[in-house]
Amino acid sequence: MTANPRLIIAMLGGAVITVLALAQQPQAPPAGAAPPPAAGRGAAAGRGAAGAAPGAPGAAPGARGAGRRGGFTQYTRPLAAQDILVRGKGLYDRNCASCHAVDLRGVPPQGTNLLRAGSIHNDKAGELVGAAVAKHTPTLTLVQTDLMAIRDYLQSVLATMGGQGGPPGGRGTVNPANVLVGDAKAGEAYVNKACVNCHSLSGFFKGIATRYPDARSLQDAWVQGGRGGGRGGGGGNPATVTLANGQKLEGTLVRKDDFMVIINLPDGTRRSMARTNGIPKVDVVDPNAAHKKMVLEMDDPENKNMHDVTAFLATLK
Amino acid sequence: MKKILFFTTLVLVPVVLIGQSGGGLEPADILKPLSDQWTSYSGDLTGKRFSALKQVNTLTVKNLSLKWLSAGIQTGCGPDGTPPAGAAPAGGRGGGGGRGGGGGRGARINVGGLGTGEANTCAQARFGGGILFVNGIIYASAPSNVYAIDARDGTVLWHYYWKTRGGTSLQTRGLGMWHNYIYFELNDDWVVCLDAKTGREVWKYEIAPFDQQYFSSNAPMVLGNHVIVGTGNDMDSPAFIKSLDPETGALQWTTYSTPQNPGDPGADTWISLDAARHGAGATWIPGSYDPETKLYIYGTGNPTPAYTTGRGDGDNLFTCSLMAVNVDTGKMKWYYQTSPHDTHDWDSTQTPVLADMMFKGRMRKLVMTATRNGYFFVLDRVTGEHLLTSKFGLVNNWAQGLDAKGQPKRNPNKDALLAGSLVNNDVTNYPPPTFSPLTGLFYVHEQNTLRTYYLTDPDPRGSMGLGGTMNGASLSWGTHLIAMDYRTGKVTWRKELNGGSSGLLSTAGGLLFLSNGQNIEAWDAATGKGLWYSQIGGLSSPPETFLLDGKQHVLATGAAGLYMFVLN
Repeated sequence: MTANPRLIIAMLGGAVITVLALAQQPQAPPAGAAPPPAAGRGAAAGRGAAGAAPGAPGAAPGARGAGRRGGFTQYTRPLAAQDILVRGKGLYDRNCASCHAVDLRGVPPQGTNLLRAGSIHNDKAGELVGAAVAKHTPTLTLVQTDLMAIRDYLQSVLATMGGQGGPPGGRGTVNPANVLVGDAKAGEAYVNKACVNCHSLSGFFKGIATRYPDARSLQDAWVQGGRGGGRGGGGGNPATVTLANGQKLEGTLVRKDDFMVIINLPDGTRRSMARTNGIPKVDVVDPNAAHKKMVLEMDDPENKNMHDVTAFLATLK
Repeated sequence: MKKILFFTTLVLVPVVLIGQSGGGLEPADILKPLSDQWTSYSGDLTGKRFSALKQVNTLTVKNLSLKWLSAGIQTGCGPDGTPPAGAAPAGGRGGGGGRGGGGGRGARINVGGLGTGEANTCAQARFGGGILFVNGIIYASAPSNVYAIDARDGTVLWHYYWKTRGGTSLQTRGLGMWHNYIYFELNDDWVVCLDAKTGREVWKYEIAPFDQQYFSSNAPMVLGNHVIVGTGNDMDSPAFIKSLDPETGALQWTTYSTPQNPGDPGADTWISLDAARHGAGATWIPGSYDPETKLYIYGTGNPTPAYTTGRGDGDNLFTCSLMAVNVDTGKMKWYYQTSPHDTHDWDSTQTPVLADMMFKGRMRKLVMTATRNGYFFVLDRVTGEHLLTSKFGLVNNWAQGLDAKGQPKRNPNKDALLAGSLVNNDVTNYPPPTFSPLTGLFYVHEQNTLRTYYLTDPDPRGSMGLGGTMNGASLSWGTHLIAMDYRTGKVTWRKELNGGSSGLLSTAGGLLFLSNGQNIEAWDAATGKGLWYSQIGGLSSPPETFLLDGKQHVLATGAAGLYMFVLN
């Protein structure tokens, strides 16, 4: 807990402690790189922080595209000129990054996270940043133009954030190596107990790790099974409709509710029927029912069975 | 649950009424149980969505017929709200979108907002949240647009159009009303007060900084001489509700969801004050109100970062909580956290339901909530005393039992993991439940899905907002409507739906109205048996009912616009 003033105070640099773990220094943009747009929405294609390293804030300028899909749509301010952003980044790296980190998320406990600093998000003309700097500990000795260049650089990084607080760089990815934590032998035993009645090792499972070389994809594929559960209400599943006279119609369910049932018949025709008091009777088969039953039985509080099975299946190249 | 004073900033504002009192919707009428009119988000302030009307009942509902369809009502765009040449004029007309009802000219458009109109889209209005019905007029809204509509024929009387600056444009939760004023939140973080007769802007107030990713879609709640507004935000920003003067828009008080200053209650449940200040607990769904205790009871959203570390190991108060604050001061009387240290983005922003019912042999003043984490809670709404917790959901596996306070104990192995966990998804969400005192059943949507859940950002500082994780496999056991006995939390009946979860309505006629796939349906509230339907497309807001010219009507938001049904 600190005694910071209310709201967020941006601690713009000052400290010169070198944190080796954060020493990845973004590179300057290549000569002749296109300047950021002089006006328009911050989320427009082509904008981005000045020359950030891959994976760091501002990486892959333009990757978000010009539309309103994703991105930080509130960020509508024009970015500063490219030379100012480059200068701001250099100043930030030298003066601020040791406490606030190259990625702006801060170095605990002193270095606050600047990605969520209201005084930077909301600053229009230096009024909020200036107030924050006036209270900064340690005292900053940067001149106003340098502070504004840092502010401009920080805002250019904020402009690369995603909506709903998504950090720069997006949601990240799963490292497949991290997924293989289970006991393959135990997984083999589990598969032999729970799966082989329906899926043979010499058939269905043969080469599954080749079909899904990424361990995460492999795990997701076998957990989900052939279908994700189908459409709501059993739509798309095989169904038998029993009419009041006992006649049975086999087909694929389109929809059923208390008032109507619709099925597609094997001859390609569509049949809709009114329902009253549950007549016609409709029996829907969930082709994934056995798999879902197995998943519920397999689930354990530590996910051990799932990880074990994945580890075993990953050996089936 | 405990009693505390809370971190609230109170602003002393002289109350000056300048001529709007009298006429329109009297504040006293807002306190009445849901019956002839629909005066707030839930129809009345209890959140029950239980109408006393019973002309339409289990025997007569078969005669419920379409009275009018107001199709093609357009949202505004551009500098003056006018659609591009060749598009349908703004302001739909009754009678099926043709010539019925409204005459030949479009409705008057009143323009507000700070944008240019470029971020608005002209399209069919998709109405959301609470649609008001007062004195024969329907007041309905879509993001950035408000309409007054003649309830007798569906003609648009006026249209207010807000030129938005953009931002996170989620569906609106609707409108509030006080005398002749209509209140509406804009996604780019203003609330406007409109003249109910003309749709002209009376005042506007900036709720939160737009540049900080706030988005405001809550329905303003009018509680006496207070207009309560709240916001959404997933970017590690302070969350709050504010109380405004209904006449002037002047700020009366602000109550934050998380500690903002040293020594604030709950500060010790965060790793640092900085984390608490950025801990969110967004306030994006209206609460309910008990006029006897003057307590406004509402739910708060998830903490941020939502899924990852960065908040310490504590409960992260007062996120994912039911809050009870005094409406005159903003001071908290009690709280109950329904998801301590949430790691799944399971906002507790579901509508709290207030009811006076027997509980274990005593008449109690209850508040009930069925939260996104798949747990149902019953509390004493005066004191916050915990009375009951039950679990719902067919595949709800994220917790390992309950603690001494009846709160679910999170299983950290069902958090997002580098190797993936197998855990249930949201069991329900914000579309409002309903409670029928006649059946004693609490009705709510139940989603049953297991997923694999991966941590993608193991940085010990934590991620931000909703970052740092991804879902993989998804395995569904279907979406259901469940009816729970409020005394036990046990599911009395469960019925699978064809999708759709727009919210619910129950009535003294023994009916339950809901959206099911492409239908609006009426079920027998006691048994769940379907009694009536109309295939109007999935609803975009909960069905409503009220009395017009002595006849009970049912209003629904279907695929083509507003559908008004009446009993013939």
